[in-house]
Amino acid sequence: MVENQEENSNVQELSLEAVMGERFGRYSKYIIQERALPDIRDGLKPVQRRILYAMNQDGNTYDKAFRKSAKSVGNVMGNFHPHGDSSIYEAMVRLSQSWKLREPLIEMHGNNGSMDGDPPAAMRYTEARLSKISGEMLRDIEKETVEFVPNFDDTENEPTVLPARFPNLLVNGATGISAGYATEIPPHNLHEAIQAVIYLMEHPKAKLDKLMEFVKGPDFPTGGIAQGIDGIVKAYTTGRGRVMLRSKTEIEQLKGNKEQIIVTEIPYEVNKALLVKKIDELRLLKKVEGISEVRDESDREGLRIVIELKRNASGQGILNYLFKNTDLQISYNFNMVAINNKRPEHVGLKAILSAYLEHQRTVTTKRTQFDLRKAQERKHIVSGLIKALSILDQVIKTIRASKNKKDAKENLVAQYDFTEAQAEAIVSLQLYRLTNTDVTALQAEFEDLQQKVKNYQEILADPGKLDKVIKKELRAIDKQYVSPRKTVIQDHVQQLKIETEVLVAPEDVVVMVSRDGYLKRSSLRSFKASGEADNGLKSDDLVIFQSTVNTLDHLFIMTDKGNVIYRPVHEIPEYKWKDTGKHLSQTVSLDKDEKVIHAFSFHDLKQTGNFLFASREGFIKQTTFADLRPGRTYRSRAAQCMKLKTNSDRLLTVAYLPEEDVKKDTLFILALTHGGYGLRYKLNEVPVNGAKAAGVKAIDLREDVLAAVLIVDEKSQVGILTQRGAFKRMKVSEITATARARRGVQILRELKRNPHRVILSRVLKTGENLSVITDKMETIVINPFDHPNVDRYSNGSFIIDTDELGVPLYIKMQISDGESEN
Amino acid sequence: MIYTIGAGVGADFDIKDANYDKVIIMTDADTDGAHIQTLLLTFFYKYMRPMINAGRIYIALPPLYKLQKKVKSKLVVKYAWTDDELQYAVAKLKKGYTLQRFKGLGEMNADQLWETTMNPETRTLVRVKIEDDALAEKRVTTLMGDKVEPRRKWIEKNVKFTLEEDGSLLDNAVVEGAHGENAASDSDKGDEG
Repeated sequence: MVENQEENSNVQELSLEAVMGERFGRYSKYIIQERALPDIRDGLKPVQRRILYAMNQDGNTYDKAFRKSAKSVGNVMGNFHPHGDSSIYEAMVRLSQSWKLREPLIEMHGNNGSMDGDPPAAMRYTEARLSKISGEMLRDIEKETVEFVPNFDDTENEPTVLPARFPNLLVNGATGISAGYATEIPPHNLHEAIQAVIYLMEHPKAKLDKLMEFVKGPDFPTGGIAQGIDGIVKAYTTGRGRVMLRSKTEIEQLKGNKEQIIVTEIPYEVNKALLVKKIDELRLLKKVEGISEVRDESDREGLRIVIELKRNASGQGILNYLFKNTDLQISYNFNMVAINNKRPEHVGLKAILSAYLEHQRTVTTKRTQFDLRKAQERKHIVSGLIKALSILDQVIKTIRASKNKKDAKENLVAQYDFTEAQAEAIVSLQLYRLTNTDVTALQAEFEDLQQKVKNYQEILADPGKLDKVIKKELRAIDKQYVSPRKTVIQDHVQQLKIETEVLVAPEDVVVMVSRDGYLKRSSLRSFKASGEADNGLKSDDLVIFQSTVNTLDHLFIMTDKGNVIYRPVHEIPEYKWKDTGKHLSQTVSLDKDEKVIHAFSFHDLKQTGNFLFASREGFIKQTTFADLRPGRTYRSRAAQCMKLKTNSDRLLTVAYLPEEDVKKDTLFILALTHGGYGLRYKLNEVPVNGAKAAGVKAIDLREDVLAAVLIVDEKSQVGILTQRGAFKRMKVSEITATARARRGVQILRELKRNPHRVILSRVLKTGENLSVITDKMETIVINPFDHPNVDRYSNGSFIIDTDELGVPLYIKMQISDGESEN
Repeated sequence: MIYTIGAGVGADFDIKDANYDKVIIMTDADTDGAHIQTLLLTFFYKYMRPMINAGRIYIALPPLYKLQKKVKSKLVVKYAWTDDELQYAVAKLKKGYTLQRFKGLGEMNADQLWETTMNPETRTLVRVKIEDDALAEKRVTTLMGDKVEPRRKWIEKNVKFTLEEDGSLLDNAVVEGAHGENAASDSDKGDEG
């Protein structure tokens, strides 16, 4: 290392802020102007323009043989584009890809890639030439129509823009990312774009809706369906907008109630191989049910993806799912940025068309000026020749008398008033041109030139004539290259509804919910293999809900804190029957001491009945099923189903009443208190409240709490268990029906010492046993009809030794065959 | 780079352990080179700021132009770093010179690179220092951050979209003037080489 001191004279101090600004400014300017964004006039990025220009200069055109790509790339790199060969070749390949460009500008022989994203063959293998339409981009370039600048090493000139005799920016679109600006311009239909240019030429004040009568929207080389006219209008107005772009599909009926989806066109710039892979993954991972096979049957005839479905699977349902979850449908975002007057600009349709039109007027004017000059020059020569022929003998004499060519010319100019240029033409004349035919030919040419000059002058003098010329030429191109629209435009974006049936295989499963909050579903096989008793629950936990339901069913779980948790059955985690399952608090937040008290399953969420809720501290209400329908956040949040007014209160009872029961006039509420009071009144005295309501007073409790709230009719019988282990069977009619919120009547005989207290009660049904579980987790099965029907004041008979077996905690109804039900 | 400098990175960076007194960024003299300089400066700014604060980060200045002329069977070679220098050299050589604009370091022979850019006796370096912390932070965030909108606004405001060629860092940074007078005393290097 050299000492710092020595060097200080050569160290400049600059601030990071300034250096960053200067360096970044230079880079961004370059990237914006000279790399990633297209020119609004010819729609080309510099590398593309240089490729076309270099190939044209080399005569590598559509009417000549193909040439090695590497040769063209080398030319472009050596003469105009001092950057990597790979980026030049990639740009060249893209210009040749019929699925990227609406009208490819290069024809390529050999492997130029595919819609599956396969790489093209290396440039030493492929051959290329300009396409025919590419010739229209370059036409008249030799006629001083566009500005040229020196190339990077000042050895040649290159065009800053091509004449572009068709609106290439619209037709082929553009995509690119620079600094601060990106661009995304979709391809359009050549015929539509040209019609719009012509219309704008005739109506300079044309409104967008008029122009859109011609340009209906993007026209992708890959076809497909573009939905959402609003997005197109917005994009054509501001340069930014969005359309949904979806594949063209068809659903075919097969034998045996099977369907298959046929895809014939996919969205622009979607990689077909990846799309097929993604659909197959969905099939493998069973994200969507009903796909049996996905095949890519594309061949030289065209694109064809077949999605074969299982028997009875809904083709439309699965297609909707695929539209939503794969690139079978994408949203295409317009971001139309182009370089206009060297500046990046967001441009709408009219701005693009206007800029193009202005460019065409410039190009055509310059070409006409060039042609005019050439014609005038030629006319001058021809008139000289005609004059020379008319005085041929003198001219010959003069020439013969001259010393040399230079002298001959000078003599001609001096003696006959020829100009220098005419004299040159005369002395260069070949002898055979002095025949009679050539004299007439010269006359004809002179008249022709005169006509041409007049014509050119008129064009230059009259903008209307200029426009006529442009129009005629555009129409000729339109006629020659016309190609029908490929993309279908639809006004509205179709909303995709995904039915659960599409995603879920219908299957019967066993679902279990425990009092402590464990939840699981098990296959019937696992359930049968383990046996019902081996349910994986902890020893102090209880089964609250256990039932065979379908994966398409819906489960509602209520807790004693007034919460309801919703789960579609197919979303319940699947476990083996002998596993404990997943605790609810892993997905929704519950209090530590919160217990599950009830769960219900429904086939659908269109139920019309009511839930009945009652709390320990004496509140009661009905809430419609509709009010408890799950919200968006059901996966992570429990919803309130009843408000509890005090911290000590708990939800005691939840029952579901189908609509016909709600309407019945014969149903009663039977409220039984811990202290042994019973009150019976009509169900319709219980108001219907919202999910967050606390309800009304069920019974006049005083210091008491509710022990059970039952829904009964006049003929019902109830079984009552006391804390001392006594059981009593009683007719409901023992308690006279009165009104809500009364004190009720005593249903036990009040003992002085150790009085009985109601702890559990159920409505009895013939053929059903009561399965009582005690706090010591002992199960005692009672056949209630073994016990006599007793009157209101009876304390029943002792059936459980509470010292040995514990206090009853929970009753289940049990049908004799072992199936249990709440 | 972290390994070579050997002083850790980010919060763990300790300048006492740095292996080098000078870290010199030398890139091609073209626009992509300018981009690489901003990327590297951002890296030092974000992860080794003490190196910048200590004045140990430099940018090398390869020449932009080379002029050659045969004078009496002797080859005269001149280099130019700025447009002024170029004009000066052109005036001195008069007619018959060939001009080469350097775009990449790869265009130069090793000895040319030594003589113009690397030789401590003759080279010119730019030392990068932070002058205004707030401005530096704001600029790095705007230019190199992940939000596009502020960057576009900055470009709209600061970049002049003309066809003119850009001069050297020295020319332009002086014009921008955000760094004090130091660089204004731009030494005349026209006779070197």
